Amino acid sequence: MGSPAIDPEDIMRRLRAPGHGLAWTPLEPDRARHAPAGQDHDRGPLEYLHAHWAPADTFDPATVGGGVRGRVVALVGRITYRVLGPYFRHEREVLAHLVQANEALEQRCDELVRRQHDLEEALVARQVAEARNLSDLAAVLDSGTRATAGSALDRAGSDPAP
Amino acid sequence: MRRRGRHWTGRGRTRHHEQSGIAGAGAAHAPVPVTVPGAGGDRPRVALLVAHWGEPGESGYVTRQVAGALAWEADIHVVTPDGTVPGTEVDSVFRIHRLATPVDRAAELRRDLLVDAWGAADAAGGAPPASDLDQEVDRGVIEPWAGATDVLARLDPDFVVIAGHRTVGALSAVDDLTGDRPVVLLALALHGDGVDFPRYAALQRRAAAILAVTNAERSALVGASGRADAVRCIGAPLSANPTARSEPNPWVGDTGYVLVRTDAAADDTGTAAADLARILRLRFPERPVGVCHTDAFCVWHQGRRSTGWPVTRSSDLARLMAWAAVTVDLRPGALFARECVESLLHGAPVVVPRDSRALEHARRGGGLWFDDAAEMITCVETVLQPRTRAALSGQGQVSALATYGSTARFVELVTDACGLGGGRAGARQDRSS
Repeated sequence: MGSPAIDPEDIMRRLRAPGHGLAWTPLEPDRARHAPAGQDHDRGPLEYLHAHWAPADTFDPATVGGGVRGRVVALVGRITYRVLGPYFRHEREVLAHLVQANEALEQRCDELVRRQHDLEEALVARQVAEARNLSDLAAVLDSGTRATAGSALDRAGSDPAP
Repeated sequence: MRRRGRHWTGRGRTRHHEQSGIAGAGAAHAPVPVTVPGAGGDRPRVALLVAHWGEPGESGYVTRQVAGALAWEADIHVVTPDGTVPGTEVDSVFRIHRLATPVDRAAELRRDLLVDAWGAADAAGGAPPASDLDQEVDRGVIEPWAGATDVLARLDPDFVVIAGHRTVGALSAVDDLTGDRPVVLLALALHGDGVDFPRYAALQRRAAAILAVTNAERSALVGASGRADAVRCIGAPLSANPTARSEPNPWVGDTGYVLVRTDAAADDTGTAAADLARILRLRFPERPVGVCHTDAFCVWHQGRRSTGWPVTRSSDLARLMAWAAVTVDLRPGALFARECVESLLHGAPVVVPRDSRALEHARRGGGLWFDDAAEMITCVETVLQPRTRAALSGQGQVSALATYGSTARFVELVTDACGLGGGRAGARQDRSS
């Protein structure tokens, strides 16, 4: 044998020595509860996106004033918007989808947070149930041991004296 | 192997037996005179009387092994009330004589319950005289043996082996024969069995030798019969199949798992075995815990259960034991805790109930024992410490090999106890194996 010899009787004596037995107390469940996050978070940025997601898709000549300079700017503006119009509309659609996606993400995050909270609640409830169940088990085992010891004592007590 | 130089010498000789050599067995045995009449020159004829031949379980296993050991030196005729048609058939090296008057299992159960009840009442000091129960205890278990006397008369055996210390029907069949036949009792006294029930004292007195499998059984029989010189410890031949270590079962976990054996079904609740198994898998979540239930094999990984087919084949159980860190046997076999011995042979230490036949194996160095759930947990924790586990594993393996690992030794012990040429048989067995 490669290992030093061990006497099982010695081990058992050590295990049964006072203070070496298994001490047991129910595990306290984690009672810390957190309010589900996400219900009162700041929706400002998302609201801003909702309000400002749409860029202008036409040129308003009234914004450039009058005079030669105004007419030139208006002409250039109209030409620019006419040429770039399809790209602006496409960009508008992209931005609209981005805002919708952000809105959906926010809803999904809220849903996940609620789900996590529900799971935490279920976990705590399970911990409580397990702790109670373990307490019952300890009580059952304890009563079983006492009953066995009691019947042994009864038997010993009923034996005729030598 | 030691040679004793004693041989079968023919009819009418009286020989004296030396003490058995099995570890711890029969250390204080005095020589036992067994008169063995037989036919000179030819092999002796032995009749083995057994209520149920070939039944599974430890008793059936030991009965067959003893018959096989005796077959090295004698012709073995098994006489059993079993069967639906009376007749004789050949089973390996045995001739089986079936009486076709089977012993009703219900009658045996009633007998066992009565004896247990009497034992409990006796312990409490309120038992009626045991003789009052004789008629009830014998009901349905004596009559099936009525036809055995004729079979024995035809066989004219040199001596008779009766399997089971409660098989009083077989004794009455032997007593009805003309002439005084030597009787050897293969006791098969289970843990908690009522070996001291007065009805069975006659069989214990009548037997020239009483064979016990473990020292605990031997002590119980010596206590009941008061015949320390006649009760021999023979052990049982067991071996560890080396192929079990060829590859672990990855479904359970490579190595280092806790293997639990229980007689509870997977969904049982409220029984002691079910509670203990549950405590174990809850207490050791950091390593796989495999629980052998009667209807399933459940493996727990981090609190998650995987359910597989029940472990029914011995090779599957051997493979599980070979790679386990520890085997916790919550319901060891009541005769000699065979699975615990096999676990030790595979190098897996055992944790067993103190009030069981497995205690003997643990005490020899192969494991620890418990009285209650708290002790069970501390025992498993202790065994799982690497140094302790390594030491117990080595010690247990050596001890199990020394006590149960040699078929030759078993043959020698059995044939010696029965007055046959044990040394010669053992030597032949050595050569053949």
